[in-house]
Amino acid sequence: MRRQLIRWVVLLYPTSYRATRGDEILAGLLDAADDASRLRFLTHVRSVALHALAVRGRLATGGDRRETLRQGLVLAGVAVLGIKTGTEVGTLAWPWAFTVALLLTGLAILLVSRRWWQHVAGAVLMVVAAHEWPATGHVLPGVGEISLELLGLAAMLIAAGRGRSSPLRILAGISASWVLLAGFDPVGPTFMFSMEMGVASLGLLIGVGDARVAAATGFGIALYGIQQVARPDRWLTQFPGPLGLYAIVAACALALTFRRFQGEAPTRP
Amino acid sequence: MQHASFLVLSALAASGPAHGYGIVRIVEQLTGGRQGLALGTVYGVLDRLLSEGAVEVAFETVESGRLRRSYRVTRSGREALAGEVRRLEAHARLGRRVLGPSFREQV
Repeated sequence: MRRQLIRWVVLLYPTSYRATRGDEILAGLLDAADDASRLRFLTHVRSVALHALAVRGRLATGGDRRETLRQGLVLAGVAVLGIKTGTEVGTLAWPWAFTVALLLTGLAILLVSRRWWQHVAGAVLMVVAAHEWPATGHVLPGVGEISLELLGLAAMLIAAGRGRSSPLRILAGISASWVLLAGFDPVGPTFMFSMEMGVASLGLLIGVGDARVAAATGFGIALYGIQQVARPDRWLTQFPGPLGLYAIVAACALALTFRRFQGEAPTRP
Repeated sequence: MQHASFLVLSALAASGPAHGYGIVRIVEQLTGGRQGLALGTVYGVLDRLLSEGAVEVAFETVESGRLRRSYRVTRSGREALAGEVRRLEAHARLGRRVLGPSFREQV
């Protein structure tokens, strides 16, 4: 059981990284399997899995464009298949909307973390991609709700690659998202909530450790709040408040964990 | 310097070349089990320290079919560690001075 788990964890690493470090990490995990208690072993496995995702994020934002697109698609695929379709395999199909959404996701991830205008374009595309995902909902129940994870995922990728970004750049990204959000007709409650979560987590993830960016994020969220007051018919009454709060807290925790494995946040061993 | 980096560099400086899980064990021994590093954290730190030139691959061996890649601290890694120790000592001195007699009573 432990060895099987180890194999799966090592497979989380990108191929290029696995080729150079895979054997070493496999050996380390095998040592842990032989030596550590069950709980401690699971801690090691979890940490290695997070490290693998961090490496993927780093490659996606720091490598060349082909590699970026490939990693983005892999991550999106993992998210879709792993998170949402686990209990709905019987309904799995491959509609064109799904392909479009996937390609948009990859393109968005490709664009983020580049130059200033590309970053904004990436943020715009993320919103468009998130808009596309719910359209697949009638064909793939559950998959359509991926926009929530998609935005969180994209935010993680950005956080991994950018470190402390310019507040202006973050503000531009958040504002672009919000403007687009305001311009779209909501396609459903999932989309609206996803955007709330996405906009908040995007800024918070990047803003961890940087008060100026956090302030810019607060501004973005405030803009969203204005819209909430102005158009309460859209979603205000559809979601319990604590849910959004929990989501934001979870996003922050994820960000801290993720950046810790990037060596950008204090590690608490 | 991140706390995890400090622990990894300290472990390598104390024991000589060591591989990933070996570093985990050395840190536990050095700290008397009070602190521990998760394996993924160690590999993440090693990635960064390698890119910074603070550690380097010392040698590779295969034991029981498992690849052991051992790392050692470089000169710049030792200098970075020494600088961090000086910084921590300065902080400790400041803390003692600020707390004064109450610190000694607590100790």
